[in-house]
Amino acid sequence: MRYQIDRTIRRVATALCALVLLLFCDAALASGGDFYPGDLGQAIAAISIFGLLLFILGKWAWGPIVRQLQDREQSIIDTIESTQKHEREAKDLATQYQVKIERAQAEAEDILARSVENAANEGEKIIDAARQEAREALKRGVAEIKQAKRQAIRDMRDATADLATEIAGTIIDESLTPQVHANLVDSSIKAIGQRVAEES
Amino acid sequence: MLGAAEFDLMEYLSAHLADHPWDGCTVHIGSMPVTWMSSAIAGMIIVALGLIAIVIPVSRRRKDTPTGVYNVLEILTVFVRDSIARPALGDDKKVYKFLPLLLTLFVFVLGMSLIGLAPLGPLSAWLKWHIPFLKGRPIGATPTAVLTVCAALAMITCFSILFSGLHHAAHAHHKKKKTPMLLCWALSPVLWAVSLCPPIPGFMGVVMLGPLVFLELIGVVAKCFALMIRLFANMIAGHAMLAVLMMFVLKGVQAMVDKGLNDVFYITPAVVVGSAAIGILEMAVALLQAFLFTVLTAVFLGLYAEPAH
Repeated sequence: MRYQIDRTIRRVATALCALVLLLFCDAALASGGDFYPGDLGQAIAAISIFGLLLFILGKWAWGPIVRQLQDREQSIIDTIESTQKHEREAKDLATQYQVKIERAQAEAEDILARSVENAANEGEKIIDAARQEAREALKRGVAEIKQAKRQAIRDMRDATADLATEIAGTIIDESLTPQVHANLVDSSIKAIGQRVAEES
Repeated sequence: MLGAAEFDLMEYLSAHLADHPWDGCTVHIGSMPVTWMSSAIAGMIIVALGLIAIVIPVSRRRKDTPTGVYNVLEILTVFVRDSIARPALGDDKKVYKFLPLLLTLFVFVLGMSLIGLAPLGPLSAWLKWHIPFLKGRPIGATPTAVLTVCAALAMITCFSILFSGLHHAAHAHHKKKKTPMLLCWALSPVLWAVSLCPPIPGFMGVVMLGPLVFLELIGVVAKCFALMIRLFANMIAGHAMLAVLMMFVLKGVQAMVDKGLNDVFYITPAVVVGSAAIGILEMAVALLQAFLFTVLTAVFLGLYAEPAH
């Protein structure tokens, strides 16, 4: 739509310009061709002045400006390229580090798994050893108890023998009445009970 | 003029639009008049001096971070390079080769079109008292409204095309065939003309070569001729319109003096406003024409100076 409007405006403007030019040329011809379109002099002057201007501006104005522009653009391009290069390097480095991190993580996980496994094995071993030790301790305890029991029985037998010997001695030394006999039996039983209690 | 019974429109328009050769500044070579100084030539010299006086000092202010007026110059350079030269010429080597030509053409055509809008008539009258040499000679015509100046500008484009085309054809042939450079230069018109034509294989190619070369050469000349007419017509049309509008004021005053018609006095403000509006339009047209002239020159250079086929 806008393009069509622009085109229409351009056409109208062109038509108006053409109309004015046509009227002007017509008027010029009607007045006997008085209009002066210039001659060779203006053309030569225009070419000479333009040539001179091109030389002067080209040497002292456009040349330095264009060089300055090119230098600045080159410097910007260099900076962009250098930045891109650094970015690429940083990305490569980041990738390398990522790979290293992943490898380290894998290694750590491996080490952890092995440690857990080792710890489990060690634990098993410790438990087995402890069990073994406990069994041996129990066996030793039982043996000691048996030994102590045997010793106690032996001691009790010895004590009983000694006591029987003493009682027999006492009996032999004293005349036995029923009352004495009963007292002797009671005191002997008490003495045996006390000795057993002391030895246990 | 005001007291005259008849107002001569053509005389008025001619006085405002045409170039005015200075007295005694025209020589004749055979029957051909050659003017070496006129109001339009003076205008061109003023434009050239003005450009030299402005552009060169400003271009020396360049630094890494552009500031001030230098910015304008750099924006202009970048605009001509990126919006005109690059789309038309493509290759950066060609762009930088023709960039000074295009930039100078742009500012020169713009300056010549704008100087016609500057009120240099009163200035020339004032200078009469300070520079006796001028003797009140006019210095304020629009050079681009002079047909031969437009023709000269079109010839500059044509010569640029021709010279670049011959130069490229000679160097390309020398590089390709290792022919001596002098011979390449001698053959360059034929090589360039042939390079303009699309390649047609076989017998038809030989038959069509002549007519195609002729047509392409006619095309170059026609395009340069169109360039001349476009600039001239646009400039003369705008100026004619301004002159006609300003003429209304004079006609109104004449009617007041001769016939006592006081009402026509009221036409003056409308005419002044209209003239100001047309003046602004003229500035836009000047800018547009400078742009168009430069764009078309770049396009023609791209098409013909170093043709792809």
